[in-house]
Amino acid sequence: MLLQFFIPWDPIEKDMMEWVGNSTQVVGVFALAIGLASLIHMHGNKIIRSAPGWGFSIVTILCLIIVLVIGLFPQIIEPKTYTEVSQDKISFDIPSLSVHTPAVAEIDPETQLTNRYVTTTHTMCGFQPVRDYNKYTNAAGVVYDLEVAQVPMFNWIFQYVFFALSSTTFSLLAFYMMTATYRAVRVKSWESGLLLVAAIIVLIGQVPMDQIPIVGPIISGGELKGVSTFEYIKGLILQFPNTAAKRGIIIGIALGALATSIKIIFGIEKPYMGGRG
Amino acid sequence: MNAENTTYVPPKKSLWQRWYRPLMYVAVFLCVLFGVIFKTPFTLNVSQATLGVYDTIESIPETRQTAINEVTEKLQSERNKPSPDQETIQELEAQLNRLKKHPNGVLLLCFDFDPGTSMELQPMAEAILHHAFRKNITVLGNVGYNINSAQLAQDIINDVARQDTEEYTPKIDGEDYVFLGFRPNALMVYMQMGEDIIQAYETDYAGNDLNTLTVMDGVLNFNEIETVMLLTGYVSMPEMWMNVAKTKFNRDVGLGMTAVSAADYYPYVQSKQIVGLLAGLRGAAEYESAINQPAAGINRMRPQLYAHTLALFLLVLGNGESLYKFLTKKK
Repeated sequence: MLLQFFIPWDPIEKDMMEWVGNSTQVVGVFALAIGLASLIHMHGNKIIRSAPGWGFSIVTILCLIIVLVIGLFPQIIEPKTYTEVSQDKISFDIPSLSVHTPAVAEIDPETQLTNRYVTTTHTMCGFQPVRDYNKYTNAAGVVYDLEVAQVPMFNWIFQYVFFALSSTTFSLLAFYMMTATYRAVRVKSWESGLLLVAAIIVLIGQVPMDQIPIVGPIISGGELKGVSTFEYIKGLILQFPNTAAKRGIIIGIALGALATSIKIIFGIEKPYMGGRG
Repeated sequence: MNAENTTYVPPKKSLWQRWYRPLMYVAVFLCVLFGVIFKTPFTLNVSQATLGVYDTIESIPETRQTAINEVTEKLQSERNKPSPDQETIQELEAQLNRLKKHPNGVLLLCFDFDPGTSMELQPMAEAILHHAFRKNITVLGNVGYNINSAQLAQDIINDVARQDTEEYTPKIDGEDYVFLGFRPNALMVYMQMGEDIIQAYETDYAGNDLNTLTVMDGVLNFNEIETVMLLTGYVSMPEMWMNVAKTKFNRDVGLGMTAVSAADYYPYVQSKQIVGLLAGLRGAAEYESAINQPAAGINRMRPQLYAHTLALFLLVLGNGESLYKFLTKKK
C-alpha cells in the first residue's frame, strides 16, 4: 500500500492494489466467520454451564439466528403483474407475503414518464415489515423494467429494533451527563476554573441562547461583531487555543511515533514480548 | 469481633441528596419536551467553517465546467503539436467524454455514522443531499467504516431523492444517484476508488452491476469526482479521506462531525486540508439555514437550546454549592 504512493507504475498502482484489495476483503469475510464462531462458542458455553446471565445469552443467540436468517434473504426480485396499462396510468399487483396490494404509477402527460417509483407498504401488527418499491420505468406508452424489490423484515428490524435501541442507549448519555455537570464539573483548582469558564462559553455559544425569551439576551451577553458575544468568543477558543493545542498534540504524537520506530528498527527498544511473538 | 460492629453505616442522606438525580432526569425530559412542542422561530449565524462546505458544494457545477475547459484546452494543444501523441489524445478524449456525461459534477457522500450518532449527522446528510439534488449534481454514496450504516444511508438517500419538491423533481436511483454500500477495509477500498470505482465496488447496495448503471457511465475514479463529503462520528476516518482523496488525488474534502469530535478537526480547516467543517447539530442547522431549507437540524436545535440552558443552571448550582460548603467550613 505504501509503495503505490511512491511508485506511479501500473503493476504497482493498479494490479497489485486490486490483488491486495480483493485479498483484504476475503480476509475480512474470514474475520466475520471467526467472530461468529467466537460469539456462539462463548454464549453457548454460558448456556450449557448455566453461568450467571445465561438468559441473556439465549436472547443473543436467538437474535443472531433471526437476523442472520432474514439477512440471508435481503431481496426478492419479482417481475410485476400488470393489471392495466393505459396512456395515463399503469396498474399492477405486488405479490408479497400473502397480500396483493394494488399500486398505480401515473404517467406524466408532459414527460411521458411515470412518477418513477411507487412505494407500497404492508402492515404487520401495525408496523411496516415490508417496503416495496418498483424500479423506475421510462414509459412512453411502453412499459419496461418494472419489477419490485422487496426488502422483507430486514429493513423493519433495522428501523424498528436496531435503530430504536441504539438511539435510546446513546440518548441515555444526555441524562447522565446532566447530573455529571452538577456533580463533577466543580472548581477545585485554577486549572479546573479555566476549564469551567471555557465550558460555559462553549455551552452558551453553541446554541442561540440570545433568542430565549426574557433571560436569553441577558445570558448571551449582547452582541460582538454581528454575533452574540459568547458565540464570538467560542469561535475564538475553537480556532486558536484549541487548534494550537491539537496541532501540538498531533506533531508530538508524530515525533514520538517516529522516534519509537527508529529505536525499534535499530534494536534500541524491543517491542512487546521482545519481538519473539 | 462482633460482626455487628463491623457493619458500615452510611451517613444519612438529605432529601436533596436522595432525590436530585431523578429530579434532574425529569428536568432534562421536560426541557427536551418543551423544545419539541414549542417550535419558536429562531435564526442562526452561519459560521465560516459551515460556509466552506456550502460554497464548495454550491460551486461543484462550476468546478466541473472548469475541468471540462482545462481538458479541452489540453486536447487542443496536443492536437496542434507537430507530432501529436495519439495515446494522449485518446486518453484526453475519453476523460472529456466522461466529464461531459455529468455536466453538473459529481459529489461523493460518505455516510459513516450509525443510529447512535444519526441524530446529529442525518440532518447534515439530508441537507447536503437536498443541496446537491437541487443543483442537479450526481451523487455517489458509500459507507467506509461501519456496516450498520449501510441500511441507514440507503434509506436517507432514497428518501431525499424521492421527495417531489419545488426545487427538484424526484431523482432516479441508478441514473441521478447511486448508493454503493459497504466494503470491508475502508482505506484499501478508497485507494482502489482512486483507480477504478467500479472495480472497487462491482455492485451497488441493491446488488445491481455497476457496469449496467447509467450513473456510473462517466465516473471512472476520483478524477471525475469534484468533492468528497464525509459525515462521521468516528475519529481517524477524516484523516483517512484526507490522506487518500486530498493528498493523493487532490480532491476537495468536506467534513461533518459529531459535536464532541469536531473540535479535533479545526486545525485541518485552517490548513485547508478540508474545505469546511459541519460541527454537530449546530453545523447541520447552520447548513439548513445556508440552503434556506429548515428541517430536522433546526428543529432539533430547540431541545438542545433548552438542555444547554439547564446544563448552565446545573453548573452554576453545583459550583454555588461547593462555594457555600467551602465558606461555611472555613467559619
